Amino acid sequence: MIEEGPDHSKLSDGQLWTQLKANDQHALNTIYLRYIRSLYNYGFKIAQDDKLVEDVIQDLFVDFWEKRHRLSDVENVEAYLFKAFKRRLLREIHRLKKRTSLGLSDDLLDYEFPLQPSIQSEFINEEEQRSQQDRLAEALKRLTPRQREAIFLKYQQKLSFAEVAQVMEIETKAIYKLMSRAINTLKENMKLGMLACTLLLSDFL
Amino acid sequence: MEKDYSKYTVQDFLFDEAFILLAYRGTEEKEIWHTLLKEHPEKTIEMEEARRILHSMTFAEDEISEAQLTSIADKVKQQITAGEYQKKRKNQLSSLYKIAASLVILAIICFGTYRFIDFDEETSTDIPLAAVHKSNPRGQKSKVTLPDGSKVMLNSESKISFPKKFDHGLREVHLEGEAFFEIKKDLEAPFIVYTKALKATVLGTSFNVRSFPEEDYTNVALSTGKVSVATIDSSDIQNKVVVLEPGRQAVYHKGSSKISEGSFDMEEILAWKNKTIYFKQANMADIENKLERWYGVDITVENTARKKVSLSTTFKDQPLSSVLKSLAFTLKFDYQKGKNEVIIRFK
Repeated sequence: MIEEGPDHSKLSDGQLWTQLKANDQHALNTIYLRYIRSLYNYGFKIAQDDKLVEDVIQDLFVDFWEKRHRLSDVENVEAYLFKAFKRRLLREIHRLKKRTSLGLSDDLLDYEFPLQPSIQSEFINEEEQRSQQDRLAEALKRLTPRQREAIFLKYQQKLSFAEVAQVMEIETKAIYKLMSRAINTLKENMKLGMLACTLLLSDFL
Repeated sequence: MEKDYSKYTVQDFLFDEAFILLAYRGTEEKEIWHTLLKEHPEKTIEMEEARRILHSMTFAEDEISEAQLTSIADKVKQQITAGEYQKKRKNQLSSLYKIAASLVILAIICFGTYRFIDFDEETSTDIPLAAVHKSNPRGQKSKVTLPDGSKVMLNSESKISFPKKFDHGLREVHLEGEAFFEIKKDLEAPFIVYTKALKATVLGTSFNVRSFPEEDYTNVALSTGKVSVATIDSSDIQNKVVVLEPGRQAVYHKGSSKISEGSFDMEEILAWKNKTIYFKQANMADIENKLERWYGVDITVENTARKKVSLSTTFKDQPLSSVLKSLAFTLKFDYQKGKNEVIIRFK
């Protein structure tokens, strides 16, 4: 039975995790509210299927509750959530593919991870913004899915490199390599005009 | 900043957590920027390009809708509640499973001050596209079989929606009006009835659900077994949950948004299923509403009764004409009966 809950919104992730392990359903709820949007965003980019993403998120949180006494102490809840979620999602995608026998590949990493630039207000004029975005969109297409995912986790989700490594389950060193290639490709394809850069700099001077 | 930025390339900046943080904070940290640029004027262009790249890397979000957010949260809560209930039962009451398997009757009366059309709009987002909608006009009842083989007897002026095929592990139906459910037992897949204000979760049994729009309370009444009842309020993520014991009912009042528990009259709740019109201290408005729904007619009362009407009686499987004849005698009114219309005139 759930009564009106205490306000957990100011607790850190670590504190919430501890509370969750101590049978506090409100802690689970707060974690849910804190991360549902980013988990969904991430999950949809992997699965491209909102129903599936919803189901997996649901299972994930039900499991957290049911296995709360067995949950390990987690250093970084956000990275842990992303990792646990991704594993589960991939497993589910894999299972569905097998069932429909559409996917011949056994590769769990077989997903596209599409990324589109979002509209920004930073740019001085619309035309420049549009061409900038077009260039970025083109550049993003040239990346591998794994590169896009790393770029997303690092620069959109704003995880640390160590966290990105944890979520993607590869060595931090490998993340650097993956991402420097990605950034090279982006830079080459975006060909930022130096003039524009210098102009913008005046904002700070 | 203790690193040697003088040797940094654009890429190095893009890999520097401190620089990245600074770039994201941007203009809020002007002073640090100034210092940094002053210390490394030779790196102005690299830093600016790195900052520019960082800022261009914002990507279109695949946003979850509030409805999805709430619906997942609800399902998690339901599953958790159902899971706890199952566990508890397994531990303490394993023998009671046999009883639960036999017959569990749950009655839900749910009234709301909303209209049919509102209900449509509200729930259409929750119901998958391949949803089946069955509805009865006034004066008609029907039997519906659900995808899992469960049986539903749907009362008049009632509507039920459910997916063509239930998702694995979850059986959900949306109801407005009243229905009696005989649910195929499936402990793996809780059966959830959604009404406007409440939802009831059972693990396989039979129960009655009633959810008409005219009144401002919702009622769930349980005969045997066990069921969890929860409010549905998207603005309140911590919805209230009540686990009902047999013979108890949960009443939800729209105004207070609270669930209170009490006992209930079984005969009254399930009378409709036995083709019985059940009046219990009914006033004239109650009588009108009930007869209109039951027989699918419009009733007009031309002048009010001199004495306050309070009627307690039942009519089992009788045509409207004999019900009217009987009521006219008891309550002292004249009436005219047209095809789909009744006019009542108190003496």
